[in-house]
This record gives sequence, C-alpha cells and structure tokens, in this order.
Amino acid sequence: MTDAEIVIEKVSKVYKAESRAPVFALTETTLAVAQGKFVCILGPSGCGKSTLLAMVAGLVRPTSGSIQVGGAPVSGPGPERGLVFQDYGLFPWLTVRGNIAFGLTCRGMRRKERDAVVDKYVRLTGLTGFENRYPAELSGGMKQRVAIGRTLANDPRVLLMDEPFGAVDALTREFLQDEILRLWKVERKTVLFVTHSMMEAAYLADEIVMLRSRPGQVFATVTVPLARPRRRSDLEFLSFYSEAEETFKMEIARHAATGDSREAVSGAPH
Amino acid sequence: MPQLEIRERRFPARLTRILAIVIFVLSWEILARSGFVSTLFLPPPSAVARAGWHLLLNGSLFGNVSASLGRVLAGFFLATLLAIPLGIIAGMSTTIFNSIDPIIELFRPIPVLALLPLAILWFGIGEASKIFIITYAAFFPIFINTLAGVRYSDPILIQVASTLGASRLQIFYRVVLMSALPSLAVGIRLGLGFAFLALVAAELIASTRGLGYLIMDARLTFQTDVSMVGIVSLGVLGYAMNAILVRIERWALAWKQDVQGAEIL
Repeated sequence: MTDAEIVIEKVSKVYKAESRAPVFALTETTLAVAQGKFVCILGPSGCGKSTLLAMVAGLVRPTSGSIQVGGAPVSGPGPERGLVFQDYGLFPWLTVRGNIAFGLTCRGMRRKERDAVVDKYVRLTGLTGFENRYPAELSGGMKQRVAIGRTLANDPRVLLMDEPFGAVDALTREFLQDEILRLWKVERKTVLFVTHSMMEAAYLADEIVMLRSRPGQVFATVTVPLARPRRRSDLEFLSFYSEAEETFKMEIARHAATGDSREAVSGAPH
Repeated sequence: MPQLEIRERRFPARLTRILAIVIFVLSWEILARSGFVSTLFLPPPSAVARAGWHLLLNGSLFGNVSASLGRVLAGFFLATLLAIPLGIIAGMSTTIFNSIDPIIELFRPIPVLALLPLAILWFGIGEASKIFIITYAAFFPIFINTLAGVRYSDPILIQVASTLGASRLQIFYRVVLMSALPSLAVGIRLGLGFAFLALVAAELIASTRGLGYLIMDARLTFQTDVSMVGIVSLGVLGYAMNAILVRIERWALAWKQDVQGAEIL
C-alpha cells in the first residue's frame, strides 16, 4: 500500500514486571491504514487495542516493531497525531475556548489567527454559546465535543480515538457517532478509532480490525461493504452487523476455550 | 397527581450568622455580670469594648497590631518565598523528593515552641528570632501542599498536553503548575494559620511589642479586659487576612467552584 498514512509493522508490546510473568499486551501486529480512511479497532478488554493506539500516539513505546505515520517513524507524542481520550482529558482551569486553543497556543500561533481557528471549531462541534464555560459546567457529551474540537483545531494528519464515547449514555453516543462522521467528512482526516462495540464499528468504519486477547492479536480485518450514509435501522446494515458480530463472538469464544493458543489465524479476506 | 411542594422555610443565611454572634456576645455579657464568675477573670464584652476604645485612642492598640502584623507578614512571605520553589522542585524530581522527605518528616512533628529558646539564642531577642519562628512554622504546610500538588498532577492531562504538541517547559507551566494551584492555595492558607500560632507564641515569651505582648503584659497587672482586647484583635486580624486570601483564591481558581470559606484559622 503506497498511500498508507499509518503503517504498523510487527509491533509487539510486552509488559515485564518483577515477580510476575510478562504480559503480552500485543503480539506481532501489522496494519496499514490508507489516507482518509475511517478504521475501527475492535476487541474485548485486555486485547491491547488501547495500547496499540497509545503506541501510534507515541505515548507508549513498542517492545519491538515499528510504526510510521505519514512516512515518518513515531518516536514520541506529536501534534500531527491527535488523540482523543475516553475520559475527555480537558484542562479544568481552561474554558471551552481555552481548551480548544491549547495546541495552537503551544505552537505560538498569533492571537488573531488562533481566535479564527477556535471560532471555526467551536462552530463545527456545535459548542456555540458555551465558549466561555468551564469543563465542570458541561455534560459528558459536550466535554467530548470539546476534546474532539481541541484535537481537530490542531490540524493533525491522523485522528486517534480511544473509546471516545464509552463514558456517555447510549442516546448521546449515537448522536456523537453521527457528529464524528460529519466532522470526518468535512475534515477528511485518517481516523483510527478504538471501540469494543461492533454496532459502533459497523456504523462508523470503512474497515474493522478485530483483535482478541491473551495474547493481544489481530485475527481478522473486515471491509465494511455498506454505502454511506448508513442507517442503523436499514436491513442491510443490520444483517452485516449481526453476521460480523456473530463471527467476532465465535472467534473470541473459540479462542478463550482453546486457552492460551499462540497460533496465528490468517486474517479474513479483504 | 400529588403535588410535590418544596417549602423554603430556612432563615436567611447571613441573618443566622449575625444573630449567632449577637447571641454569643449577649450570653457572655450576662454571664459576666451575673456575679457567677468574677469580672476580674471574665470581663464582660462591654468592659472589653471600653478598654479597646481606650487603647485605640492612646495609640497602643495600633502600635501593637502593626508590630504583630509586620512580623506575621514578614514571616509568612518569607516562608512562601522559600516553600513554593522548594516544593515545586521536590515535586518534580523523585530523587530530590526522596532525599528531602525524611528530613522534612523528622522536623515536621517538632512543635515550633520547642525551637523558641534556641531561636532566641541564635537570633537574639529582637525581630529576627520571631520572624524565624514564624517562617519556620508557615514553611511546612506550604511546602508540603505545593509538593503534593505538583507531584500528583493528573498524568492524563500531561499526556494530553504532549499529544497536543506542548514542550516539556510548556507542560510544566501550563499543566503541572496549573493543576497544583488548588493544593498550593490550601497550603498558603494553612501556612497563614500556622504563622499566627507561631507569632503569638513568640510574642508571649519574649517581646516588648505586639498583641501577644499586650495579652501577657496586661495579665500580669490583672487587666483582663486589656488581655481580651488583644485576643479579640488577633481573631479579627486572622479573620481579615484569611478573608483576603479567600478572595484571591476565588479569583484565581474561578474554574473550581468549591472554594471553601474561612474554615482555617
């Protein structure tokens, strides 16, 4: 793949602790994400999906293997890889505007220019009227909008999202899913989105990368054959979702039953 | 449908507070005048007020208040100046923390009074020994709370800042220091309280000016009303200084809505 924006090659992460057996958080993971694609990483807890994302973000160093984003190897965190955290990670002492402006301020952007960018993302994320509120005064859904706006305002090449809607209620979650698709369409970022919900992955993704745990490992990559915009009530959507969910659960159950098998299962056809 | 009625039958808060003070002062007056206790030991508020008025007119109250205030401010600012930078450094580096912590923990439980005789020996009977004692007392709470604030700043926020492209220096002053502010504010207010305790201790023992001196000196001549004036002045002074700090805190920590009132001092 020549136009791959994110290239993950044979990446493993092993946590070694004294007095305990090493934990294989992720083994030999290879993955390429084409520019502008929306890719979901799906897996049960403990499969290393968040670790993988943190490694792309540069917050965690792989034990072995290499990661490249936009052709450059990842060696630490950087503004070209924006990460949206599950628990929002808003600075409580900054207003909505202050939070969205954070990356721009760090970069030393001029006030006038910065204000224009902040205005744009306040509008895009639907936060007009709340610009001068502090995070403590916002609902969970709004906090996550601020976090997304803050990351997008920084104009990253890729947008990394770690179960961003895990902490909000079901209704807000569906709403935010639509919002992120809308923003993705406007901004055309490459998105790597971690989730444990097949429903979410089927609704959002161009491609779903499925992981299983112990050891964390990719076992299938599925291209979602659905046109956009998708509707959660469409028969086509539902039949894809239920089939994919079935396959996913069976594999997880089969793997759990056979125990700590290290055999590699070849990925499903693209 | 049964109607849910929430009835507001509370007394207005401010009125309750004022009323409580009035009742307290009145009961004190009655108790002191009842002959139940000697007015020599417990002068009534009216007598204290008269004595206070007298001291105000002859200038001795102002002299003593300014002496005390000068000392407490000097010691408190000196402590802040020392404790905040040291607390930040110790909070940033685990090695420095590990080397400083045992020494701090060794010194911290020593009551400041125990140091007074030595302080007088080292710095003489003048201002220096008093300011030393006050600085020493105020140092610990400020240092420890600054250290804790820096050391336990949210690691997630530091990660967020680094993914947004903040440099190490930017992370330090835009995230670590900012998240340490509430803890630092607590330290500063505690420090002020400790400074007052040390002030009075120092003035009671060796002094020719100040509110502590006023209290002690009047007691020796059984002018208990004058002693009371000194005590009340200390209370008012402490209350006023704490109120100023709370004001500053409310302004600086506007994002935090649970800034506590004047519970310390």
